[in-house]
Amino acid sequence: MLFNSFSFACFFAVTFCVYWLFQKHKFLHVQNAIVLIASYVFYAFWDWRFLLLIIVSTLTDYVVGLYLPKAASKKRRKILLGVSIFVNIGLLLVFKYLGFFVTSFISLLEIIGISINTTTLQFLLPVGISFYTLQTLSYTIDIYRGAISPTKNILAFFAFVSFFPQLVAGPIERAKNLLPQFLTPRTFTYENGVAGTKQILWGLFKKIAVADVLAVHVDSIFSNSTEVSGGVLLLGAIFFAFQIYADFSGYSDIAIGLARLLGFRLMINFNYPYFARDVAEFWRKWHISLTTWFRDYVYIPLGGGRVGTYKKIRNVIIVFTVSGLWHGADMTFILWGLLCAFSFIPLLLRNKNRKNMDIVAADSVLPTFKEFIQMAGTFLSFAIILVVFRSESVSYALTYYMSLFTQFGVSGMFAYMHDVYVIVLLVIIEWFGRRQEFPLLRIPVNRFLRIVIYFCLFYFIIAHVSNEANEFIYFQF
Amino acid sequence: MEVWKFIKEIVAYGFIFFLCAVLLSTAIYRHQVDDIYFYETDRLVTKLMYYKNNKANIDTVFIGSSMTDRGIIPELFDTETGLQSFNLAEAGLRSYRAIQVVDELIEIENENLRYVFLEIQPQIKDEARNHQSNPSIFATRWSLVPEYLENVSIKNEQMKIKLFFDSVIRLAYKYVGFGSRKQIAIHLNKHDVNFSENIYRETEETNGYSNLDHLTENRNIFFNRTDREEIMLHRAEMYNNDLSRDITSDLFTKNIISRIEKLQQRGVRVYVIIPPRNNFLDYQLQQKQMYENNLVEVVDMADPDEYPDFYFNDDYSYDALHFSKLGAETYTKELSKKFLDTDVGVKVN
Repeated sequence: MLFNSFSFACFFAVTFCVYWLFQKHKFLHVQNAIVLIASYVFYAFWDWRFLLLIIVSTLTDYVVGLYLPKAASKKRRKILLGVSIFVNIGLLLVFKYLGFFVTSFISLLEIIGISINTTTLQFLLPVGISFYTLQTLSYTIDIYRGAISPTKNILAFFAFVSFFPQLVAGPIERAKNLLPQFLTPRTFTYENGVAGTKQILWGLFKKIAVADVLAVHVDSIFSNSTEVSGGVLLLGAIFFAFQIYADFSGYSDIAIGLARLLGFRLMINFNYPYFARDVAEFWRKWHISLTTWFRDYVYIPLGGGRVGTYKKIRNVIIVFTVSGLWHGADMTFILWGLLCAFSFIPLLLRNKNRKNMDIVAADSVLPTFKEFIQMAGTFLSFAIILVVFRSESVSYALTYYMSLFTQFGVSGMFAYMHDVYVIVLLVIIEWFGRRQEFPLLRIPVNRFLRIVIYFCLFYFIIAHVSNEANEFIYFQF
Repeated sequence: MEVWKFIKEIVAYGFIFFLCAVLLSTAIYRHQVDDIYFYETDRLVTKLMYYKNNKANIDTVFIGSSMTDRGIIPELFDTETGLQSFNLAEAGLRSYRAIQVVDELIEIENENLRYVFLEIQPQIKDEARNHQSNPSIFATRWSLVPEYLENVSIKNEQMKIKLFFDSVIRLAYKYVGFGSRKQIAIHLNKHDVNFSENIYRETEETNGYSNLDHLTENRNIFFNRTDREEIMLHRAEMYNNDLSRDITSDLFTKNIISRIEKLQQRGVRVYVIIPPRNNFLDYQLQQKQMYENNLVEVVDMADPDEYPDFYFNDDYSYDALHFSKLGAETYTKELSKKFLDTDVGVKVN
């Protein structure tokens, strides 16, 4: 059941109405139970068998969380945390990475002349496992660190882990932010409802009118990469950069908007990353819930940036590689992570990674020429790196790069240009809304014009919607 | 309560927005024909118009892709069989478009029509050409195709009804897909028959057959390839390989069979040709099974043991896929033979 499907619209409408029937404070448990049931129904639509995994993961962390503060010694606390990590990462390893590691190991042996005849274990990847595993893991780690206290409210905790708006593709919430919201009464406010609806509208526009439209061209270019000119290949890379952004940030906007309609506030996941002036700023704005997770639970424990140069570089490489691997069990993701690391390291070494912390062109309508060049450069470098991410294999990516830089010319580009307007539209709206959480939150025009703008977006969505909802890219991770 | 106020507003806005969207889309609907994206439709329409104007003298029609367009010589076929045939094939014809052409054929009633030969290539979802050509826009929304096939009509007044219906559910014409159907309809209403001096050099005398042997430069690209034999060997081997790709569509089956039945009801005998050399032989063989299950006669011309020259004789090749004039002559003769064998006593004197 995808957010951009009719069945989900019906599902949410029913959930929303039933949920707010129980608005009084004394019904908090009922509301949480409704969220939990709705979440499990939502998840079961993919495959009900995977419910067992999420229940195991949730139950483990609930129990570990309860016992962690009571543990008498540090050693005991470490063991308890180890159990949580073992179960969560274990599930992830088995279901997501086992096949990859076994295959890689066999390939390695074959290189040194040892041939093994074996059948690689293949599991179906449970949707959302990479997301909820990190979310629930952060709960036990934060308790271990003393940053939060465990909850005894099992219903609230189960609802927190499986909260359906962000269950399958984030934002990866921290217990510190989201769990308390399950423990306090929630009331519906009209303003929140309107803001949530606007954000959903914006998310659907990005997914259906931008990402799905560009997907057609991206698929075409990537499947004919040896036959088209360098100009078309560059266009393919740029289109894919916009596609993945519109797809994933669109999903995040819908998730945040849905949560808002149910009275929850989720963290921002994308903060206009394509207006970043350097790579470091970009990574502060892109998939924020994941990058901050890796920052807090991998990078900082490794020593972060407060270590020597060598270790600094090592830490960055580790974090980006793990981040790449998190996306999928494939060499392309590892290479993508490494390339991201190498594009980030020069800034870190020159201590320029915190240079651009403010909003670009905060006090003016347009950016300066310098800012424009910086933004374009950052975007292009990311778009080029993303080719690996999109490629089915490393060799394919290398061929794409080779063709990109050797097949000079722009022939054939025109055939792919007729949908560029969706990118232009996206960029313009985002640029004028970049000072806000999402561009439609407050539009500084009169009510009539605002309604016209909402209608235009609605029209674009309906004009591009297809019978079969297209899956979100990040669902595969 | 605020929640009820919110729900009421959402429902009201949703309804108004939807209504406005329908009205707006109907109002701004316009058809655009852009030659750049317009793949081969001109040639097809020219052929259709020719067929329409000369139907009294045509009793056999070949519908197919470039394999047929450049592989079957009606004049020769007629000499062998005594029939009066016309080549209605179009380069790049895929399954969806093929159904449309059959529809056109049914629409242009011809009491003299006795035989229809179909050679249908699969719709390729990610084929670049499909994304660049309006007629093949359906390929990117394959799931929509059958649904629309059920509703599309050539008649303009029905198009208007359909247009409104379409506005309601899709709004944006170019992503929906009445493309070639509509374009063919438009062309049929305003198009003059004019076999222009295009690269295909087809004329009224060739009855729709064309060949590109004069483009020697293109032909040499194939002959200069060092892996030429491997390519052809691979294609020949496909005939006996496992059918690993499952690219059949139940809905396509339903649609094509229903049209074949329509033709049969009019006394037209329909044959499906399995052509040699092509890259989708596995698909063709799956189709062969499907047609045979539906009691449609199949003329299998792809067996490399039976026709090794179709694969390995350089003189027969224009490129890896298409026949040269010489190849086309042999192919047509062999097809005629097989046809006469399967259809006893058909030869007309």
